[in-house]
Amino acid sequence: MSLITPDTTMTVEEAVEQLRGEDLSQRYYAAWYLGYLEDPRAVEALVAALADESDRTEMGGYPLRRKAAESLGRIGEARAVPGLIEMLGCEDYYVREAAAWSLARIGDALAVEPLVALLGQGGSQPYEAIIEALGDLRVHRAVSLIEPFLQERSERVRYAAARSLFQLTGDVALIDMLLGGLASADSHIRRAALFDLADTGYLPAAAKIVHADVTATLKLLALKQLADVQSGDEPAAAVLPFIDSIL
Amino acid sequence: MSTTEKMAVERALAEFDRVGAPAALLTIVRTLATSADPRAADPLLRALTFNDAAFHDIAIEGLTAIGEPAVEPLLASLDGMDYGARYRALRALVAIGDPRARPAYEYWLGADIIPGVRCICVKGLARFPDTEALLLKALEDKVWVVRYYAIQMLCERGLTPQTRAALATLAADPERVVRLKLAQVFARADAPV
Repeated sequence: MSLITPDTTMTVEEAVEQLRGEDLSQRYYAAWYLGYLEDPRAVEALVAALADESDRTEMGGYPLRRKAAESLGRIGEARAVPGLIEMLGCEDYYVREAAAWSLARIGDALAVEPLVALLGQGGSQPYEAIIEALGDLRVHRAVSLIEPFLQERSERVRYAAARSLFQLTGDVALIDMLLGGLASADSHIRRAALFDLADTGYLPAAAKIVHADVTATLKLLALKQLADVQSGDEPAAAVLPFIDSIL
Repeated sequence: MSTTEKMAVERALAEFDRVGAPAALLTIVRTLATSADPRAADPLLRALTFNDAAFHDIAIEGLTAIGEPAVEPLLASLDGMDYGARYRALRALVAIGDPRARPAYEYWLGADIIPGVRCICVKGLARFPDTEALLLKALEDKVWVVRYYAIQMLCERGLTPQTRAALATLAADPERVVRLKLAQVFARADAPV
């Protein structure tokens, strides 16, 4: 396995230039890199990339749009919201998924109606991302819309529903459901449940995260997430001893 | 080591190269790992690179148990490893605690793209009394966990006026956990004994 060391010497201006260029792989790399830099000066160029028609897969996907949507979420500027809302209607499932994820990160109330509409639209949708966005945006009237997803066949969707419903209702029985996921034999499910648990902000989950059967790196990220979602510094500080126990 | 145990190690060394099935190989690696026999260093190094997490902690513990004789083979292998295996090899080196590993900690702290590797290098360097400048440099790492780890290590060594001044620059760190950790460290240092 060789190390892929990204070129991280480009300035924001150079990367924006590259994003607007001709070479598709260079444009894609620039879209990733601008998300990595999290620099608000890239928002305009990334929003423009959401309308890209040139980078299409054989299956009809839009890789550049996906990456641009994701990077806009990382940057977190409200200026990206209208463009991302438009992408909730994109024919590419993964563009819709990235848009929902990014709208949750940006946290603008403008996204609520379009996300609720997408959840009820039916068909093949990125339900996990939509449900998580509605939880993060604290859309209390979405509770009855999300509840049926606790019965979904997909475990990941079930855990996303439990996570968001806990955010909206505080029902501790939902935590037990996530702890069940943390004990799954499937490492991907354990990982999804781990971060869903962290996103709930339920502090007693810290001890469960420390003892989960996942790598130390994932535990650290999940504990940091648990601290980050606390509304005050005092509860966030309660997570530090758990982080220290892993170092 | 008893005669029976010695025989078990001989058999495991011979079988390591022949056995393909993971479950059988895991048993062999366990035997090698508990042997503390320097000849087990090479197979255990290879077990660090397996794409199967079940082997990793066992191999690290085994190499740590071998101790000093495993240091040179570990150091020689670092360049050729993927970052996951390198992280595990460095953990074994830190656990062994041999001073010959210091240049490797210093090099990979600056060179590795994986934060976990940089963290373990911080831990390794913190064992040496004259590495303060390197730990202060780690406070500037792009990834929060490396900064967090460096704060912890500096704190464990006891704060000096220099480290205190360097740490104070993290008061405006973008990550809340880093700021909280810093506040905790200062509060403890300033608490009346």
